[in-house]
Amino acid sequence: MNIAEMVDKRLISFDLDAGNKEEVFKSLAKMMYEAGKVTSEEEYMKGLYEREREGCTGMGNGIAMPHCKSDCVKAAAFTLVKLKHPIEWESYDDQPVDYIIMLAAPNTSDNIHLKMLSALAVNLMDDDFRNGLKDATDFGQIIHIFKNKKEEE
Amino acid sequence: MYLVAVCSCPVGIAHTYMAAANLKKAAKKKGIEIKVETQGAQGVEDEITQEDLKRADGAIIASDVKIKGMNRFDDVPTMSFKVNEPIKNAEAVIDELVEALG
Repeated sequence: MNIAEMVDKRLISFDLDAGNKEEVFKSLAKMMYEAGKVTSEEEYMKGLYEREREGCTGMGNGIAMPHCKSDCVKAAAFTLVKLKHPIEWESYDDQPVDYIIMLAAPNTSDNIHLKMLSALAVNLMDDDFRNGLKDATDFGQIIHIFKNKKEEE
Repeated sequence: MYLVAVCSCPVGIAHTYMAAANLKKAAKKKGIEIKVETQGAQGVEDEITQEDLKRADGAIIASDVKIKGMNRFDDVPTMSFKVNEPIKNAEAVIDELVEALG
């Protein structure tokens, strides 16, 4: 399986208008719910906030990767969301973030989709992959980046 | 030189694997052999064995949670880090251990 197959148009935005972390969580939890990935926006957000308390999810380079593993997640999924304006977020490089890759993981182990989410996280460590995603302006470009990414070691 | 490492984080889907990937990348760049065990949502992978530990010059623990089998490292010089440290700068993490080993 390739991660490209998990890219979901309903979880992509190129100009989300959000002023802070809470608004981002609300909008993206709604996207996850409407795409049928989670059974409850509230439960999912609770999980996100619990994870936030464990340590920061701003990965540097303007990217945040909030995530949780929860019973309310029906199918592993991730968002690719560019924000209209950078917002405050606890980050490794203390810079604001403007790109949100929010992960939803079901409460299972030994799941090919969990592996895919982890592989996505690893891919973000690659400058070309990360910058390509941030620069993409349409769905086709995103798919192209996923299909042509370097295989992780 | 042969290093072993264990990475783990609270949820076990993102940081664990980012830290592991960066440690491998940094070690490769430095020409150092490394084996990295991940303790994540997918369970324990690439487990550090007794044979690995016999050969190991040093160990890196990169974790924000208590790792499984910490006592395995009792006889190996071990340095502990937050899981985000190798994500930020894995080369610095390896340098710190190598320096301490002398």
